[in-house]
Amino acid sequence: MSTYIVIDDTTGSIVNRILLNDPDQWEIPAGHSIVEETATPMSPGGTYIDGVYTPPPPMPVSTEIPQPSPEKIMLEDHELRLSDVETVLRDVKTRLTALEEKLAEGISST
Amino acid sequence: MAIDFPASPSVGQKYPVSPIAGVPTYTWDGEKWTTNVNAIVPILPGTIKVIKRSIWLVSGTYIPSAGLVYADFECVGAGGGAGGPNVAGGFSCGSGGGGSGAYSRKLCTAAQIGASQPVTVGAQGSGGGGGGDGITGGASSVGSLCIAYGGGGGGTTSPYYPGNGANGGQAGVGDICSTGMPGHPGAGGNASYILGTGGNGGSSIFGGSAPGFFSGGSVNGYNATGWGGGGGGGVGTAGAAGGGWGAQGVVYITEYCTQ
Repeated sequence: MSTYIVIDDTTGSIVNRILLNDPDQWEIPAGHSIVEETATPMSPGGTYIDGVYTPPPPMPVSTEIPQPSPEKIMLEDHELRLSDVETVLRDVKTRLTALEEKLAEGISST
Repeated sequence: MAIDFPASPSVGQKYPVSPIAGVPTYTWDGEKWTTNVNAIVPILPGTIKVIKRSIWLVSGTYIPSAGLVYADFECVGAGGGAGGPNVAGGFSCGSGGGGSGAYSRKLCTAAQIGASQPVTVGAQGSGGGGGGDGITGGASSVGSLCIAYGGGGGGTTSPYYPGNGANGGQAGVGDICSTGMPGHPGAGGNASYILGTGGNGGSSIFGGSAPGFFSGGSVNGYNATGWGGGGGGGVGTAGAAGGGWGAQGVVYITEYCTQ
């Protein structure tokens, strides 16, 4: 059993894709011809002209890059703010350390 | 001729009011329209002695049995293949499932059939390769008397979005013509949060569609198992996979014979 495509001889359109044991045992519709499908699957709706298969138009798909969700934007904003707070804390800690050192120097000089 | 029954009928009301060649007369029984197909070609008691059934899984030529009075043709188109996903890094998406084949049924007289009729069995739609749509299933038919179209091929994914489900086979030719069931769309998105899911194939009148599934990897879709069922979508996670195949069509012929 093999797969054949049925082609409209006038337009080259593939009108069907059928299972067949022996082409001699099936009445080919008038104005049509059949070709055994070998490696490349061929779809009804495409064309087969001079041995060249052209598939039907592809289904529409979205190609835009998805934007981050509101939850992700909020999370990233929160992480950014947290980073700012950590920077301020590090700065405060540095100043405190410097003050402690000055205080220690003052105590030792008196 | 399109059947357009009148609204709010009374019990015993006939449709059509005036007989039309080749169209049975329906009667409203209070719940439903009923008909006796013998009205098309009267059958004398005891005339039908043998009922023969054949199931065609490959195309060929139907030659009526001796003594044929009626033949009841049932056709199911082939299922469409699912799309094959191809997805960008960081994303996990499933492709769309294939649509199922449509179903058509036609009761014919020996005179309508003649000496022979070509029987066509639709080939199953192949699943798409990574980044390709599925292939549409073939139509099944008995000449031009009864035709059932195949289901559409499911859609591939984009790099970031899942694929669309396919249409079921469109309504064909016969006394009863149902469309096929659409394939389901895939699902998915950012792989950090979501696993991709392939769409189910559409079920034919015999069921037999392929299931969808979710995965964190790149996995081929399942093939349909019952005549006319649509193939299941695959899943791509930062990669490609193949779509599941639809199932082939089928033709049933039930003969009512005098011998």
